[in-house]
Amino acid sequence: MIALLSPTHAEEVPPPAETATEDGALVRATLDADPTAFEEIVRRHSRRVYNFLHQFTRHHHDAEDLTQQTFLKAYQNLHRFDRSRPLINWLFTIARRSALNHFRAAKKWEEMPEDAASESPSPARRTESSDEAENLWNRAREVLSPREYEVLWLRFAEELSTEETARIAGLTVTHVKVLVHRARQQLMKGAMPS
Amino acid sequence: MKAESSPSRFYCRVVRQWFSPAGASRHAESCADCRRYFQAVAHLESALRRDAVRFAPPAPAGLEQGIMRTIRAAAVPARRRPRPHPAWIASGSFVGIAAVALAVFLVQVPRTVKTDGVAGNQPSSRSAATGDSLSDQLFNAVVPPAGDLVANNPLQNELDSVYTGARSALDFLALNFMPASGLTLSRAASSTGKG
Repeated sequence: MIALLSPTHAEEVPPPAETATEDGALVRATLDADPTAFEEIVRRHSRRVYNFLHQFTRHHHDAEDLTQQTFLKAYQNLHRFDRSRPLINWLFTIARRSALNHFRAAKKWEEMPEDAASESPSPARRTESSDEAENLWNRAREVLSPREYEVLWLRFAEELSTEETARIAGLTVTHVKVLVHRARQQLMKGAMPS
Repeated sequence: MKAESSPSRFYCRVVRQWFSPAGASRHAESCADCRRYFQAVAHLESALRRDAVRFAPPAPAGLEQGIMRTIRAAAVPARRRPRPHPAWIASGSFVGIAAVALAVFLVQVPRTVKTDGVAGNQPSSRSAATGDSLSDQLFNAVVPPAGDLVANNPLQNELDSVYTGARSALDFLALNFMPASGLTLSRAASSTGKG
């Protein structure tokens, strides 16, 4: 019983060591004024950061602007980066803060649906809508709180460990576990006996 | 299932909340309910991972170029930005204070010299006569030699002569080119009389 209750870390998948080492070398090269090193960092991580911000904003332009802001802040504060940690986690932390500041400034915490202005959806949009219905993340967005959604995204879409998720979201590990459990329960409601 | 005791159900809840499917495998072997639950969890998690990739929004064209353009436009180096150094500020302040002190000294010294000249170069007796405090008397005891030194300073003599010349020139211009008034005439008369 006690052995069973001891926490397991089998699920915690650390980031690939190679990637972390290469990122560290790129950061060092950028600080040594290598002009191409930061371009390589952007090339490696911009899509993930954009995707993460798109989950927050649900708006292409906002996500793109915030991605640019994120990398600009990262570039300006690169000397503060702790090279023992994965770079992408640091970028997610900056991106999250940028997004929260953006929403605070714009006072539009409520998510804005894309193409909300168009009255009649185009055929392409209709196809997209049918795809969205299949997308589990859309259902998650409907039934989960923003915080549960964010934690679930970091945990499963970004494949971060519970500890990393907690650090980025500014929560405790216990809180993250509770949120993940609640989110699972919500998403499995009706599909499973309690 | 209905016959399960409450401690067992509680234990199932604990395992479901705090354990991953891998971590709860031993318990799941002996509990069919939890086995089904964790199978569903594993299915859900794999579906979440799959859909995150499958429905990822396409990155806008030129995203990377846009980022690099923003960084170049900001033109802030990745290195630490130079900040004003506290030691530099301290030394700057010191130089400023020293300059002000020197200026005050240069303004005050000629007055002292002139006053001493009028009073017959007897600062000690003057201090005693005016009833200065002990600190003033001590100060005056130290200052007069310095005042004498300044009075014999060739630079000071040069400055005095320049001042006198400038004053004479101004008086001359005022007398000849300014509209005549009682005040001007009286000042001109007095300066002429002195000269």
